[in-house]
Amino acid sequence: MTVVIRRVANALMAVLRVTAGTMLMLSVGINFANIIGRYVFSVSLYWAEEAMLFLMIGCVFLGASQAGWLGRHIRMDVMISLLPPRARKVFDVLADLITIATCIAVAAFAWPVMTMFYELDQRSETANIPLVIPQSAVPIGVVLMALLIAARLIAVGTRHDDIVAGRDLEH
Amino acid sequence: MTTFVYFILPLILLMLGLPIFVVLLLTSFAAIVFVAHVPTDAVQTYMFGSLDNFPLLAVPFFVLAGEIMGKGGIADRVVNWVVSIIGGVRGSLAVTTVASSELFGAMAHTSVGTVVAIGRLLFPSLTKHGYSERFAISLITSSGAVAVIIPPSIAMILYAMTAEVSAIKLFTAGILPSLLIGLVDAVYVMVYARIKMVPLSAPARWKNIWVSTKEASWAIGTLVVIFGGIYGGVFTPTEAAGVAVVYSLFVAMVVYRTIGWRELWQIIVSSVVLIGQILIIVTSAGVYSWLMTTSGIPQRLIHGIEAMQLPHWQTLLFVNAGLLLAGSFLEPAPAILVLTPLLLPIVEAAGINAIHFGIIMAVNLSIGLYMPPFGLNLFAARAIFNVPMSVIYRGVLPFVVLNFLALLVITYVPAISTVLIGGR
Repeated sequence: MTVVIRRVANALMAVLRVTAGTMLMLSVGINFANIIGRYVFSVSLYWAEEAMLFLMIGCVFLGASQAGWLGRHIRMDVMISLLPPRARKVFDVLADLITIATCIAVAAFAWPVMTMFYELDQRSETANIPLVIPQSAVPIGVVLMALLIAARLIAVGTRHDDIVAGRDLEH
Repeated sequence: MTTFVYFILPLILLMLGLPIFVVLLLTSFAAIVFVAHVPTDAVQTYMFGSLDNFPLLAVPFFVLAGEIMGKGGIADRVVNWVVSIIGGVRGSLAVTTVASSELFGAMAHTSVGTVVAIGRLLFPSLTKHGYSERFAISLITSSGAVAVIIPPSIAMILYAMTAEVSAIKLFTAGILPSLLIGLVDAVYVMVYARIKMVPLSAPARWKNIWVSTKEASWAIGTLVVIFGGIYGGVFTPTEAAGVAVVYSLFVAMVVYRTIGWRELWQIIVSSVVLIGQILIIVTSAGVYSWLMTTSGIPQRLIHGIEAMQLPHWQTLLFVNAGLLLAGSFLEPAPAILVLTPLLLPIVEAAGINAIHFGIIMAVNLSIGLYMPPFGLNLFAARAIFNVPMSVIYRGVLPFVVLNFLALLVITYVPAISTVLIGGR
């Protein structure tokens, strides 16, 4: 069971890495193309700013969900690090469970907003992108994060503040 | 109840070791349910809205450019070049860090972006040249906050708009205070280097300078592209950050051939996680900041100060303390937008002019960015350098104290801010 979960999570991580990495590089590309267009061809990509922002937002939430699997979300560990290993583990599990619950709550709060954007077919000002697409990066990102943290808890355990463990999980 | 939800609850959650973004979100949920009684839609609206901000796009670009510069040998060549010029002086590399932060701050506009860029660029060299990890991280974390004060900062533009003062006058007024802070930090790091006997680098020699200049010419071009692009009016800082990615990729992959496609992919993958780690805190802080600013807490604080009828210097001291506290919870932009209309009448009654107060406010909020336990830069540094928060906390304390003393000088000697604008 744990092997299957780990395999599925690794596959999901691979997809997320490719998607978020592509979004980041696409954003760099649009930025560069816009500058070249403006100075060389005197043409400005009117949709560039919005497209770059939406790509960044996607990249942030997909990146954050990966940080969930790697156990690398930033936290204040001053007090926890003073505890004995067993107590620390309890707090680590607790932190992961609360994070999962928080992510689910964010997604639940986002649902009516998503429905509204979809039903009203609201679009962005310049790029005319349906706003439900970039807005959905928030709930999708947090749901993926919750799934990946749950998968890590079941298949691997708690791995916080340990970059080596993070690397280990990537393979 | 309000105080518990906004101040005590996040403290408890932080102590429990929850991720910062979860702390901010849970606090916001509690505020929505028990205090503010606003629809939960606000969570989505402000999480998304806080990222829907073009200047913020500079952060992921600088993260990526910083990674490429760091792993592509560009940062090393630039640092070697600077050291060859000002080498031979104990503490020269730390002084270089302070100066680079001021330059990057002016360019990047975002404090977190500056910490990321300078951290990636200079941290390996600082530790290689004999500085402790704790000192190097703290130096970068505190120096990066100067982005709030160095003109032309977004914080200053927002203040000028809110206080209805001239932005150009405000920029000019910020020059000497930001140099004063740079000077204070530079003197401290030189004294530190002398006490700790940080090894001397090779004294400056024309031959060395020539060799390192030749070696670093393409790398130095990165800085020329960024600074020349922005100050030449060719690019916005966000565009310059994106161009820096393309240029540093070209230099690292084609000129120096230090990274190949495989390494590039690894750089992109690690950058994406770092971007997610840092910016998800900004999204959560967006919700918390909005709820805090609409809670009426800042207004109550100010009414309290007014009721005490204190002498002017004490009023200023209280205002500074309040701003420092606010700055450690709120980002500079929301803090300025909310507190300026409330505080400005109080300080104007105490004889402080609006431009001078803008500088006082910016300095306070910049210190708040690296003031334990909540300063945003501290958490950015935690993500970048992967060291325990306790190490960063201990390290930044001398910088907090020194910059607080500089803040007092800037507060009580108005001429530092007003002399360049003709005393008005």
